[in-house]
Amino acid sequence: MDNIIGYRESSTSQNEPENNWRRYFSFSTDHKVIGVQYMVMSFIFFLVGGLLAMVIRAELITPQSNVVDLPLYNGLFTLDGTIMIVLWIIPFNAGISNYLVPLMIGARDIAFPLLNAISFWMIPPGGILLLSSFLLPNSTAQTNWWSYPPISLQIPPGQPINGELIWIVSLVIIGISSIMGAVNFVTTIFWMRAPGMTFFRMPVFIWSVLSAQLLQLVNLPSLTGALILLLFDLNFGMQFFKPLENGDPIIYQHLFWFYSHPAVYIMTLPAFGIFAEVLPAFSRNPLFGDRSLAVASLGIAVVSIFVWVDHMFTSATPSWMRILFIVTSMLVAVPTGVKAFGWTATIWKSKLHLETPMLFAMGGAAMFLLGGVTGVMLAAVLFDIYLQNTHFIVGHFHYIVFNTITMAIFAAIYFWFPKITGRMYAEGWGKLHFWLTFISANLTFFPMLPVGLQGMVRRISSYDPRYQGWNVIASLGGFLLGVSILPFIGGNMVGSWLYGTRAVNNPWHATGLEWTTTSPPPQDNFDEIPVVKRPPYD
Amino acid sequence: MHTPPKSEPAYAVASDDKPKPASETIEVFVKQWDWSFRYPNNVTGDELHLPVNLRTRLNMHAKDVLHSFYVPEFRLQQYIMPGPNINLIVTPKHIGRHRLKDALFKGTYFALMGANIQVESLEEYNQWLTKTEKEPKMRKNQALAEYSQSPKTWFKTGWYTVVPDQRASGRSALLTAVSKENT
Repeated sequence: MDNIIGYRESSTSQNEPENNWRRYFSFSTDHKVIGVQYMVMSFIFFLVGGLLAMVIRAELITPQSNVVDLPLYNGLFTLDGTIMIVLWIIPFNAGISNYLVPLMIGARDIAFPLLNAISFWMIPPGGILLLSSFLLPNSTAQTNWWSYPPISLQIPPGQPINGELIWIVSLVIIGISSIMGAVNFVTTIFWMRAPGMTFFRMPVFIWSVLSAQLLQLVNLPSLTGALILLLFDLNFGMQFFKPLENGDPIIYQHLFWFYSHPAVYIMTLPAFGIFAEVLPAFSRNPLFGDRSLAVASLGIAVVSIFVWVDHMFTSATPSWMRILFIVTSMLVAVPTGVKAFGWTATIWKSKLHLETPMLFAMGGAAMFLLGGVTGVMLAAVLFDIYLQNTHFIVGHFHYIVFNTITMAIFAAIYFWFPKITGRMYAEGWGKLHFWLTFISANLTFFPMLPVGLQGMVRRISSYDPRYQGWNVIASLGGFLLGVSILPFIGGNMVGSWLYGTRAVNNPWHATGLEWTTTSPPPQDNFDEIPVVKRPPYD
Repeated sequence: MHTPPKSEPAYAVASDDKPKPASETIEVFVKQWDWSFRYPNNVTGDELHLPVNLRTRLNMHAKDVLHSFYVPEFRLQQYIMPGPNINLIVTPKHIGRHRLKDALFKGTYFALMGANIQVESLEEYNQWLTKTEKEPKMRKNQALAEYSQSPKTWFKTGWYTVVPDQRASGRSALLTAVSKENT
């Protein structure tokens, strides 16, 4: 660590990590506490969403509808999609960014600590509100995670408190929280870097977080605004989106996808950043082309602002618009391709240290290939109009959100677990967790691609018996995926956090600033603010 | 804004195809949760019959929410929304029986929405038309049948659902909407 002048071995590093769990339930303004709060809370929502998904898979084992009745089935996949996106991946990314951004750029805290705490504490009420709609007598939200009008405006007559209203209100709350979080991250990265840390000396993870949070700032207000207009239509008799009263439901689709397509990149970019930190550490190589990878993050963010009509090729969209958006949607493949080449070149011909974080990162990056290639296929109109609303889309999307992003999240948890808790995780449990996850994730999501190509429509509870074979495989894989989380929770999150062996400051011989401080870091992160003299991966 | 008059159909026509007038026009009506079709001479039915190798124009009308006309074998999908006139011109090339699906999620009985498509020779098509004109038959409404009985599932919530239209099809309401547009 000779690249940082002013760093010295901290005297506290040999102490037992303080086990003050009460602060995790308090209104703390410490970015590390808030980061852990975000991560643990979103993981709990991940478990809830996973349970809903397993009920969906149970329903799809047989071609008939025989497990849950139709309104509940519709509510299940609506909330599965909503929870996994807005209560698992996005808050988890906010949590890991919260924990790491100040440490990686050599700051003592995030720019606005109080705002940070407020944005966190808006999410649990929003999430609990959303789940509470299962207790309503009339129904939870039933109209899928996009909630297109006019279908989303079909509510029980004379019942102003309904699942759709609760869905909108909780999404607006969580959306406002994300916007405030984005303000915080962007300000922190721009203004609070340690002396000597120029933009190109920032780790690629920081570039990814910056790009993702800039997207949140630009695009998220459009969704929050659309939802408020939808609320006016729903409860106050307005007609922004009612086609039979001169409203235009397509405008909602534009506003919705203007956020919700970039949302995929908001979720994926931090995952790319995690790969860029884990792969060099375990191949003991500097990251290949770190500047190109940094610029590619920003490139993905810029291009992804112009791809939203990709989801509306069948919505009577005029030809010129379709052609324009084929080009922009395919253009995304260029910066993502740069990233994939960068990761491959980093581990090329080097001795790999296959510990759990590396396994998860390599597994995630490899499966991103399938998720990305199917994405490029869907950018082409002629292919897309054939497969829009089929299980092919479900398979493609889950290859991104589960097999890439959630794998990256697990890689991040294992990679920074020693830094966050001051203890090592159990390698055996970790490897078991990886192999169970990798196998069952592919069993679950791969069958959706061929069954979609055969024309199986998504969001249905009963289907043509000829699709059953693939669906049985997907369902069994789904249940195994549920089991695969047990070694993670029992073996590592509980066992290692309480009883793991003490971690040294830098167990992976990694290069980031966060590894120069103690594990876990002291209250102010660094005894003395480091001065950066070299590029990030030297 | 999204359906300018010159908007081209989603169906890809080969480049040497000169725009020709469609030789047959079929009105397609869709609502929660069934399809119905009106052929020339006011023949109505719940199956879509298409003459092979002929350009057929499908004028599509949705009554309530967004729907999607999806035939996997035709590699074709088009959203239908209440209000704007949306039409497709299709030229089926092979005789066969297919299944029309509604691909866009639209509430409780979404999975039940389908209709048979029969692509047949022009003679058979005309025979079918005259036969159906004499003795029109309407299949029972599947969503309505499901609605009128308790679900056979293991777990029941009895949550709110939109009630399927009592009439066999919503044609009369649609016809007034169509005639309004034409005037």
